[in-house]
Amino acid sequence: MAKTGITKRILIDKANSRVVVFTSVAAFIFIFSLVATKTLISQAAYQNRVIGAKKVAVHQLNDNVQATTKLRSSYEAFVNTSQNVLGGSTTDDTSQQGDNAKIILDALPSTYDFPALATSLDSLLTSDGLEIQNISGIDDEIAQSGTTASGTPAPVPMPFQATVAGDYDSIKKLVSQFERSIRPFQMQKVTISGTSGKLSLSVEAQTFYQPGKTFSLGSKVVK
Amino acid sequence: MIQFNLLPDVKQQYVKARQMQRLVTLVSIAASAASLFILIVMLVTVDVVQRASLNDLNGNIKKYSNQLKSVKDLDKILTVQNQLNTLTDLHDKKVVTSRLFDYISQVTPSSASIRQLSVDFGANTMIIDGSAPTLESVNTFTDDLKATTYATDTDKTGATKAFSSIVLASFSRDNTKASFNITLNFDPAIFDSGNTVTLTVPKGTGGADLFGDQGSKQ
Repeated sequence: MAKTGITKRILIDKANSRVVVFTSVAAFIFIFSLVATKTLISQAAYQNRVIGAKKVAVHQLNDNVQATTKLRSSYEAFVNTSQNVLGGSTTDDTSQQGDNAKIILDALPSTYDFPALATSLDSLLTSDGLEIQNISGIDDEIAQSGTTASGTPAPVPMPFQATVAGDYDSIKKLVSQFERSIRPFQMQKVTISGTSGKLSLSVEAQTFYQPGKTFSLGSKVVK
Repeated sequence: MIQFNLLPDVKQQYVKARQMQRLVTLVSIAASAASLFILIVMLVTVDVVQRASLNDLNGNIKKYSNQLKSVKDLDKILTVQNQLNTLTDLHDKKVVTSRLFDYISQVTPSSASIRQLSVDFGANTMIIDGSAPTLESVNTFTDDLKATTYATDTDKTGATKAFSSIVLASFSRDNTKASFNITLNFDPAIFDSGNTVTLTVPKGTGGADLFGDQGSKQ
């Protein structure tokens, strides 16, 4: 009887030991899983955001691929005409001639070229027998040379001043020519003085150039 | 009814210990299994499902990018398209300077002559420097400027004043003529290319020989 009691006590101790071992192992597994799951949930949430952003990018790229087909055909229709938007020939390469793409790039150049602007102004100002008294401006070539083509270019003003002399009708005609020019000239200050036989027109104006647009793929940081 | 527990203490303790062991074992296995199951599900989601999705999306991005890069002259086409869009906006922002001649012709009395006209389209100001036979003509000129209104194709009432803050900044009179210098602000809408503007000036004004030979009018 005493021997059976001792055996039972040993068995009770063993059972208690097993309880401790099971509890410890289960606690370890549970805590490990909890920590690992928490990390994985964070990672899954982040990857979900990345997947969402990539889906948007794929959708955008797919739309762009579709759009390029239309864009290309529209461009070809725009360029391959017998007459350009100014009514000139599309085959010659002189002033007011050339295809529509050339006309557009002449109207809003994609590179900064102040001497070319001065030449254009010179021919515009002298077109009606007006006498040029002054053309001035600051050639910003060095600062602008750092501006490269980008995905979102913006127009850059090219200010200039000019003074011409002529009769009333010629001056009036010149102002209209500035307005009708396909190259945008925005007048800021205009001074007309003198008498109708010999008027002087001084203008402070600006025209523009806009760096070219390029197709570029960027990257975005997803947080 | 009285019940007697005839099991020895040690036997009772042993039974309880066995029951506790079973319960703890069951709960431990269940908790471990559940947590391991969640862990494995998350592991599969992150390392298998999401990774496959990312690889798939990366492949599509690369494929579409290559398609776009292979389009001939794409940069030139985009540049022309962008310049064309910007040109419209830049032309819309131009002031219609040629209206100046019509306006001045309309508002200047026939007896007056303008020597210098300065317009600042940024500040919307105008300085008119000229001469007239009498100071009365100069007074009429400033009064007419004050009374000038305009109508546009969107606002046909014609009740809006074209000019404001009209000041006879300086004047002088000699035995042949009166000289004047008028400063004023103008409503920028009258030079807006988006509007067709009709200026309404008081009767009797206009028809001036603008920039005529100074002092020749009496």
